[in-house]
Amino acid sequence: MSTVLTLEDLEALKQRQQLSYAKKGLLFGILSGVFWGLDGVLLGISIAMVPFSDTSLAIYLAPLVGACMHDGFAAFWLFLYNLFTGRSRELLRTLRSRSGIIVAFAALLGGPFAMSGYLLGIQLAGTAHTLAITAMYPALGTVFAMIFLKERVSLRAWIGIVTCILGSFIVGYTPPAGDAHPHFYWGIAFALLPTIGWSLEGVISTYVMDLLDPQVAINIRQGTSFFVYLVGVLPMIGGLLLFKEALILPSAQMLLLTALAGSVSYLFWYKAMNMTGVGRAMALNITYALWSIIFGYFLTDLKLTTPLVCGAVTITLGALLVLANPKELVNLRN
Amino acid sequence: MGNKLIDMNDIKKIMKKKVPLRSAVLYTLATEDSADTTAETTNEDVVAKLRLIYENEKQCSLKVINFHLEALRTSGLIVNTRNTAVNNTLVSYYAVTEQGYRRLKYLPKSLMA
Repeated sequence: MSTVLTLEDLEALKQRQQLSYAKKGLLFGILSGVFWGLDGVLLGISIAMVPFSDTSLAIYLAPLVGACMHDGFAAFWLFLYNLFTGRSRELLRTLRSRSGIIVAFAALLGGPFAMSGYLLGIQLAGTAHTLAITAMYPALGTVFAMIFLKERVSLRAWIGIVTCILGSFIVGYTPPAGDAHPHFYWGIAFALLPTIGWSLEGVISTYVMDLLDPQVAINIRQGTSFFVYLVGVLPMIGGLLLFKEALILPSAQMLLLTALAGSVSYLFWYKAMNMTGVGRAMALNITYALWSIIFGYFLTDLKLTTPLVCGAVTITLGALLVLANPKELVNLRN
Repeated sequence: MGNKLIDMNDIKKIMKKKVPLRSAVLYTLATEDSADTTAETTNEDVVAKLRLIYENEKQCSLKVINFHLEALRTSGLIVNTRNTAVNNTLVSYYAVTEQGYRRLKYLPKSLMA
């Protein structure tokens, strides 16, 4: 005997679908943080390998060449993903569109501008502290999103975002013990570049993803970033030789693996921004500061200090506040 | 805003240069009169129209199109006007909002001839 669906059944079914979509977006936001935390730790390992570890190199060279290779490999992984999911032709179409060009511009902000600062921060101040400082970007991104995208952000979500940022300050305030990072505070200063770059990138990309598939948009983003590094940044800083050298050494394999984690993180980040809005996606993404501590503890010789642990707990509390009510996400904008 | 009459001949002719799929979904939902609240289209109709243009592309499936429709809805570019059941399957109706019509300007000019 077949069941006839009533109007109430249909409305309830539709609401469940919409809520499921919102919850999936939140999950993607968390996963973007997990994989970016892993990416950060693996990046720290990668740029400590030969030839990046050569101390005769200019201090900015290894991080920037590493960033170029990271984004190039990430673009490769994302292209494979789009190829297998039937979106390869969508890539060219998107590049020809006005929105695609805007994504490419956002890539410059989030790529060479932000990624360079990020890697220099890791080089000079260490992974855990750099990741914690860059965790400020959701606040800036949320303000931009409220102004330009008319996104709705509840008071609870704002408290969650600020709590996450407070956690990052707690982690970042204390310098590491010993002489492992003699230019620690320079590293912290460089870590502010991704704060600005990623917040702007997020808002601009979310705006154009109203009309674009996020999986294609992020592929264009990584490809553009790699291209600008290769033809613009590296020749300017004399990094092409190091690039060629690194390509044939085990460091390239390590970066290829690192970029896999990075590409997964970026994919989830773009999808989360599109599905749950800029503020929440960014706030969940910055739990990478917490995940980097966990991965760093198990994969490297990271020592847990009281500020690291307190900061991680604070970030977690902030993320929980952001997650609290998925029903707020059914309609994102005013 | 001037909106053009949408029929299948127009869609086939204009979309020789295919646009990104999500943009095409929005365009397919657009109708002659943006103030006509009865101008709604079902998700299945959108899939059927787009398959004529995107042919055998793997991404042109009901699941993917529903994903794009939901994304357009949460961004405020379209609205879910009503739902109904056909053979006990949920069929959703959508219409473009005023904000959605404003965003159509980002599609190639040839689409808005």
